[in-house]
Amino acid sequence: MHTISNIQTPFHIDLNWWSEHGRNLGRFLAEIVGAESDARSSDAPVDFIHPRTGEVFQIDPLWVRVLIERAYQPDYITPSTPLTNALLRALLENVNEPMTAVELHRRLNRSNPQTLLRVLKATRSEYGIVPVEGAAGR
Amino acid sequence: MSNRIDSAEYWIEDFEPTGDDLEALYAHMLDALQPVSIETLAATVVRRRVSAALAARAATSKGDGAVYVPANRYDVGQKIVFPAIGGLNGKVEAVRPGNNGAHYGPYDVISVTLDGRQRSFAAGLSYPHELAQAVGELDGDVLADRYAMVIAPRLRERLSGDAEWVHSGDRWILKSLLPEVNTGHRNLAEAILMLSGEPLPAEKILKDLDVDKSTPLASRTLAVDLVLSGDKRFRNVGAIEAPLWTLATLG
Repeated sequence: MHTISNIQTPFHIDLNWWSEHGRNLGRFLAEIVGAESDARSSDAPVDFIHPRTGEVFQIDPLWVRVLIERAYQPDYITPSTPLTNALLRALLENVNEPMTAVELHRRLNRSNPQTLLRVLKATRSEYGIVPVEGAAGR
Repeated sequence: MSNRIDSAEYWIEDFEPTGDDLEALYAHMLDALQPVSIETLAATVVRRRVSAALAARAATSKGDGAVYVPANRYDVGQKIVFPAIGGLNGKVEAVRPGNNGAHYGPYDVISVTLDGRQRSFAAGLSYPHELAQAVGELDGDVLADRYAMVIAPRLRERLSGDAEWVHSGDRWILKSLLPEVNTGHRNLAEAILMLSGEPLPAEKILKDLDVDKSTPLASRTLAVDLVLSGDKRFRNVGAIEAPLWTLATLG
């Protein structure tokens, strides 16, 4: 089912999509931290403590490494990062808390919300980024 | 982890403009309606961050419960307010040991239902988390005086790449606050400069242009400066901060 979305519609990464499509998010995470392998898939989730709020998220250990070692840094998303890749990185950095095209535009400082919305709609087939179920817009 | 908000390290090493900072700048510009310097914008950011830190402390007196501080430990049933999560509050429903001591050292994780959704927060952290900072003695104006200059370059870099902002030299404004300067205005400016026989500032050219007078003069001046700087017919023979316009053909 497709949700009619606008620039205020929150998007997130559908983590089930990755397994259903035989894709490995771990490989992507390993690439970001420059890890040798993506062997994390069998590891149990561990705590990540959000640096601003203190909220705890239980996520993949490799994802925690991305957040602790790479995210929130100026070189985590740069102007030369491909746009679809940058969108995925932004959502990973936000611990997959849903973000709208407007919020993603603020984070990426690239393009404009309308264009990002069009790209977001296309990233379903590349990275499983989809509108949050039942959220047509805030 | 993060440094204290009143430390130089916080502003020199940690500072990156956030969405909340940009929101505050939009609000500031909607109040000002005219160009401001990057240092003024930077001071706005410093004051906003100090206000947010102080608001967290103020929540303690509201009776919503203890203000959440990651360094503190909490018991089941204890009421807590979370200023960093929009001031939501709830009761601790469960406590478990943290499972990532390798990164964070020993700590607990408390479960709290906020707005109908169960969420988890760290407790008993031994490292100085951003929320653990003491905010009692903070003064936004004092810190703005001290650190606005420090963060101005990073803010300038951020706003330079933001399509919603424009600037000429150190005059910054939201693009949407600029009045329209159209082709007709530019043609008229060309004629004005041709007749004047000397370079003119935008302020003088504006006297004969019908540019939206409901906007402040400084905004109209900047709009004209920006438009003329992008038109090959015109040349700035003055300073970047105080342009003087002449016709390129007269040069």
